[in-house]
Amino acid sequence: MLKAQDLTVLLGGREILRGVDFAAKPGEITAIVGPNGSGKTTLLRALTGDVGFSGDARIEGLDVARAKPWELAARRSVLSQFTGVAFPFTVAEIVHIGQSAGVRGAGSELTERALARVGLSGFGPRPYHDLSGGEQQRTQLARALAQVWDPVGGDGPNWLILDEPVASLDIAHQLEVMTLARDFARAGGGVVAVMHDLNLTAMFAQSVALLALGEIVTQGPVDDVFTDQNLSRAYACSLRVNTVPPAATYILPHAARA
Amino acid sequence: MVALADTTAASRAMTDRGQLARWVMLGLAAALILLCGFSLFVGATGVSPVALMIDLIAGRDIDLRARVVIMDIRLPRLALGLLVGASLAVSGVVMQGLFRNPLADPGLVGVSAGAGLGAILAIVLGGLLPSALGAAMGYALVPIAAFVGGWLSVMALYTVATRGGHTSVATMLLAGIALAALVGAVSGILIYLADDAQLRTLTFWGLGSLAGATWGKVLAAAPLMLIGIVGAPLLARGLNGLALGEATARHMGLDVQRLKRLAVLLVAAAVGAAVAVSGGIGFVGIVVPHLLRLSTGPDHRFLLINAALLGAIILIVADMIARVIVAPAELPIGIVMAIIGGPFFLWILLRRRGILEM
Repeated sequence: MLKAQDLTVLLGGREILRGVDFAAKPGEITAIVGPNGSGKTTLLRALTGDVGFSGDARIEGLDVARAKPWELAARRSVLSQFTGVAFPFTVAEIVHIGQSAGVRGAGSELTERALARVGLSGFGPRPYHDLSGGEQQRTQLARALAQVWDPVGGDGPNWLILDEPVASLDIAHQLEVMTLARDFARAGGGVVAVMHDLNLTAMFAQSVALLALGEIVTQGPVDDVFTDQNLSRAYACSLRVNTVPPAATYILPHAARA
Repeated sequence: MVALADTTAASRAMTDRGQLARWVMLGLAAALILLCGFSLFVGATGVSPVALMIDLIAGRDIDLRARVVIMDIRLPRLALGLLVGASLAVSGVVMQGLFRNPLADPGLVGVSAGAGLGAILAIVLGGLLPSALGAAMGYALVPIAAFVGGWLSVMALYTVATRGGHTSVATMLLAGIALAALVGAVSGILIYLADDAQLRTLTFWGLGSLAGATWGKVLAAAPLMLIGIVGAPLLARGLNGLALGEATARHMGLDVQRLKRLAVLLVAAAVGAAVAVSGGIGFVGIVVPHLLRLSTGPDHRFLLINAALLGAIILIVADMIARVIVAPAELPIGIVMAIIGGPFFLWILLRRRGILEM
């Protein structure tokens, strides 16, 4: 279980998040959606302990604000946006560092499997800086995946926390990455992902938290949250939720004003 | 089958670079041992360590002059060269890892200058200490003062140039210039106050030289330098993690604050002690890591050890050049390193014009 209660985050004297309650269950993809500046990434950064907050956040009982970095690292891995790499490491070295820097002993076999899992077989020897943005993103995902390789560890489920995992990916790789997250969840792990693409969210997520102006508009199963009214209110434009046979939900932009 | 072949290629490539780094390590170690032996033969007087050894083993009367030249002049100088070269190169690697930037060199960004100020303070004002304390600290006073000076300047630099884990290279270099200017001004005042004997010491020290090496100096500075050289490889995994970004390093389970504190202390210890005993020897901390990253990659597990070896080699070679090029006089080694390092540094900038935009 990943659970946050009454999270408030102040940055530069401004309230970015206000009294947010958030929960995610293992076995599901829980998406965090909302318009630009609604506090999605800030909520994620509070859950990973990257920003200070008041309130309470726990991953499988571990207090995010107080646990040691290595205790958290054994439980969850994080894919951030804009991860710059300082020196000319190769793809394989970066994935390897993900396993060896913090918690577990490293095996090059796991590095290979993680790279294969994100569709980067054979990319191991390539310099990271020579890759395209999408390939770098998938390298980082392989790095995060290798850190918590088993969806369920000896003492309970592990978690993937992903900040816009499909940003800068083409449509095929978007599906590939979301399928990977779904497989991780189906095998018993937990996935929390900040998402921009509502259709992809509708296709893959089981639970959604909808944020606007630093507060939760509503959280729950996808079909309960994704209604014309909820979405139009949160995004301040007119959105229609529809289904195409056979009963798959999609969202079409409708008009610039609600 | 294809996937399997590809993935084994991945692991092979990774271990290839590690394998190469291990071979380079062996090669450097062998070269260093040879050079150490060779350097004992090189000097203004034609004294041979072999003849001395033979005399020793045969139980003959030892040529007193040879004994003094080898044991009390060349050997401590060699030891100092080894330690200073390794210290400066390792400090370069650690600083660059800490600032996540290949241009962060203790000499360039004012850490050596800060350490130098500590050393100058100790040389000029050391006499004002209560005599019992002064006597107790002896040779160690200057290295310890330089360590404190170096530590304060790394801290100042980090506070000014780093915000939220991101180091602005321009700010870092400019802060280095400011630090160096401040240090220059204070040093000027101290030099103005110094008496003749202190002035001689200061001038000689400031040029950057190993010529004043004595066993007393070596023993006083060695512990601090060894802390840096031996301690740094323990941070290797941490520095690898930090290269992926401060937040990512924390996500991977590293105690980043502790890592940074340790890195700063190690750099201050190694640079402080090195500057205290050898003055301003520049460029080792930037030339050595750069050459090694080009050849064997940036993995700190190998980089730190290889940098210690190559740093020692370069300094010993530079010292031999310094000793023979204008024999029987000798050139300060700082000048030799600047002649080699200056153009090399320009070459790095030329090759990687984008380096400042990182």
